[in-house]
Amino acid sequence: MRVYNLRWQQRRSEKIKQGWYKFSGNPFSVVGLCVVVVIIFTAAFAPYVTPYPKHAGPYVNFRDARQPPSLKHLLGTDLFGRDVLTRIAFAFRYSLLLAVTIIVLSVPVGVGIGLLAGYFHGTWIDRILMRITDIFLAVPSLVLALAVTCILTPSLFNAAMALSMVWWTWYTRLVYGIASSYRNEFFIRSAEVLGERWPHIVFREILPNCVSTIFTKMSLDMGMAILVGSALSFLGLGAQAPTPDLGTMVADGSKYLPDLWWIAVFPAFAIMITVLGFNLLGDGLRDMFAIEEL
Amino acid sequence: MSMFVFLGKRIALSIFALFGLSLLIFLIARVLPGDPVRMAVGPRAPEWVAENIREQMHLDKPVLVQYYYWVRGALRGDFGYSLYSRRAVSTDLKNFLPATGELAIFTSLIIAGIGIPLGVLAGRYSNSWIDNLVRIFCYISASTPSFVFATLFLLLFSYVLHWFPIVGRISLGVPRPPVVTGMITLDGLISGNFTAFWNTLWHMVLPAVSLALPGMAQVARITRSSIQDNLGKDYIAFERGFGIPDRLIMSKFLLKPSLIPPVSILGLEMAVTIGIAFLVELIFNWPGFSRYGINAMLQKDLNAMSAVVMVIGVIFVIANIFVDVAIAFLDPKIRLGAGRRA
Amino acid sequence: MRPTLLEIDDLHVEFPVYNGRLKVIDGVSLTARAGERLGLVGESGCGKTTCGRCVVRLVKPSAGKIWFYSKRAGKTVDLVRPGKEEWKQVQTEMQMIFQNPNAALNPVFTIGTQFKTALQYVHPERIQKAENLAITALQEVQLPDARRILKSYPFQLSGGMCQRVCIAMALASEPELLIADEPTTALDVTVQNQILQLLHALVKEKGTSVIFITHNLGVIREIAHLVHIMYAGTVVESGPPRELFSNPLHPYTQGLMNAVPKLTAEAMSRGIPGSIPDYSEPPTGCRFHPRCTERLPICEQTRPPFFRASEDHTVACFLYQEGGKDFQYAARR
Repeated sequence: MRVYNLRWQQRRSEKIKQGWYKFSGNPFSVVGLCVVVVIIFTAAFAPYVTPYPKHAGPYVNFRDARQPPSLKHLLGTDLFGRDVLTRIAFAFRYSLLLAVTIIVLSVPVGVGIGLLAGYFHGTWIDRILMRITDIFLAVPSLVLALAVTCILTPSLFNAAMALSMVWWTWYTRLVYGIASSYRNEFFIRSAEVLGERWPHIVFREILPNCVSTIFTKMSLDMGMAILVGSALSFLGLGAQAPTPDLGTMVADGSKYLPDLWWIAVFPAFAIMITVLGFNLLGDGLRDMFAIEEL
Repeated sequence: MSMFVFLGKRIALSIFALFGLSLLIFLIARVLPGDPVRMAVGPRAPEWVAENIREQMHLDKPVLVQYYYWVRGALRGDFGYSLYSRRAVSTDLKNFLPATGELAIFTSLIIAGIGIPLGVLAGRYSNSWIDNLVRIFCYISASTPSFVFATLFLLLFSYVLHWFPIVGRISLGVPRPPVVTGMITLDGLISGNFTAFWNTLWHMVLPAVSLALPGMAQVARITRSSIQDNLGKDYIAFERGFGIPDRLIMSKFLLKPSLIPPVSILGLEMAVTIGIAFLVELIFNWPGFSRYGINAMLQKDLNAMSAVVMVIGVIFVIANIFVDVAIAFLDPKIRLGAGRRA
Repeated sequence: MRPTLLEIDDLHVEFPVYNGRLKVIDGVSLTARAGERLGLVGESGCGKTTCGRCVVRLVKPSAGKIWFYSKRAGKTVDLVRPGKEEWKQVQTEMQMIFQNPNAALNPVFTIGTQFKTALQYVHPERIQKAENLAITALQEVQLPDARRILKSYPFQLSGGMCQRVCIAMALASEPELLIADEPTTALDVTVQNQILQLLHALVKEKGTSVIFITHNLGVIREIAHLVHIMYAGTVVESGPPRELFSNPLHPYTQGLMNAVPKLTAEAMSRGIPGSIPDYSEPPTGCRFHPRCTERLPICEQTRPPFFRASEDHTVACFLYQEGGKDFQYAARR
């Protein structure tokens, strides 16, 4: 039988083991984790692991163009003779970059607004902030993001900007719900009575309780951001040629269906597998932290 | 009584949000860089032509004045003049909205009609092969953008298998019914022209399914977890204890409370569907409103773009209100207000 | 001697968790006779609710047997793995009342719908008069405004009213055995007594057997014929309540009695030092031995068997072995 005080010291490692047990109990989540690791690795070391790193940039070789999958080019070549496999590997970089940028930009803003609105629940601050959020939520965010991207010059950066502009609202909603439910808990009230000012309460008392939810949503959002990003670049609003981008590759290739099917189909599967990996990972994290709000 | 108050408040808030949205999109359209007039007339048109157009569109006046003109027109149904189609935007809307409307309705029916039963099956038979199959299906559907599905389906079912037509709303040679709503399916039903009805439906299958899959996955997932949660609840055990047969419990007593979460996200799902409809419309060449909207945005057609965003906003609001009514129907707490008797 | 209705024989229940298995119930045996009212008493987490749920098949035992004599089937049925038909018949002869009355009623249907549907399957021959039956049943549990209640939803009723409804529904099917899982714990103190009196009167009148699960000793005193004290998944002492209260033998029972605050005592009541064990690595031998002030060396090695103090008073403690302590309680108050 365990001695009681030893348990306190072992609690942290116990929590990690417990978390891993829950996570690994679901084979889907483990698969997701593996897929994500492989993709991140491929993206990071793309120049070293791909057969034709030069094909990721401006490269033209019409002699080798339009080749179906073969031993020389495992996934075939596109219209300009570039190796599809290599371009997909490099395209991962930009997809991940887009997703990370969106999250890095939108999460602090969204969480911040949500915390403030939640803590000042019922006051004018809450009302104004949530009305503004409602306005952004009145329309499917993709539409708004599209509108903005179209107006600006299409580029990866602008796509990231436009998407961030609508992405923060989801975090605000989420955190607002958590923060306003904690608002009246005793530990907050006692902090107030003790004289703590609102920055301390909001950031040192409420925020830590939201962290696992936010973190899980972030990993689910990686998948969503890649999905939405590929939709934007499908329309030509993302990274511009010759930068390889999964959505653009599908768009370009779909004109040549069904003959040169590999130009569109492999990037399409790449999108699917990437988003799937992040979704599985995110779901596993959600089960691990047992979060219901997501 | 409280339900009317509830609805009234929702509508008021939505109208406020829509106004805010209109201002937002208007400002975005006018304030960000690029000269739409110059882009519309082309670089070689003389400056006086561009000036003329600018004056007609009030683009020379301050932004808030422009907004005022726009709102005044919009409330009368006049969204201005499209620089590209050379027609009033409202005419364009009338032409293209029904096509997308048909598609959206069909897609929503698929999302609810297939997504919810799948979720119920998966929840009921948790951890069996049915459940695993449904979960795999949901994961894949939720992770793949609609345009990928559209591309693959087009390739497989149209080009290779020839099961479905490749493009268009209706095959050539099939007589179109007289226009009542603009939706060929409904018009066909109204006028008794069933050939047109089935034909259009056949054309809609691939685009609707590609569009519906991500939404279906979300709905199935939420239904599944809702059923699982409620299966473990005490009231199910209590009801079982009376010998109430399983099929009655599943079809009535478990189903009704479990439907609340999926129905409440149906509004959101419909919004997302409307938002991504263009992906599918582009691939299938569906002459719809979303495709029109995308083209408007790509060509920086300000009037058309603002109109499109506003129409989507209104549709979204209406869809949400319908969903709220449906939830009130399912959940008595909302219908009657959470007042206690004793 | 009344005929045996329910027999639980060496029940074991285990749940798998991340670092092994939680051995929640470790060898519980008890018998309920027709018309008898049993109490199952213990702290939160001692496994009494799990036992109750095993009987109605909401929890699967990992070992052990549960036998139930079914009038409708005319024979003794194995509740661990019953046949489909047998289980259908047995189901209506056993009812359970849950701890949280609001959670035991379907939130999106009216009481009327739920009650009438239940009656439909319990008394199919009287289906025409289901409404009247429901009203009568509700009046029996002292809910006079029966018609209005039938039209209400659970969230519109208070906890006490909901529990009365549950009792009405459970008793309407005229079960042989009723399992009441802490039926008053979630209610206000003022309401608790009313519900208990009501329940007591009803089961006495109908002659229903009851297994009353609670952590409140006072409650059990009035109602039960026989009380089993549970600790950490095992039964440690059994006996008629009066004898158990005046002559508690097991050190845990004595601790429980001492822990009840008394207005006339000189000092504050004392708790029992320590806490309930970790079920994934439970103590060997007697599960109470780490907290026991009177433990013997043998207590750590072997599980104590039951020693008989009187006709129906047994205790599982080595202190009462032959040549051990006397079966009289030395007052330590």
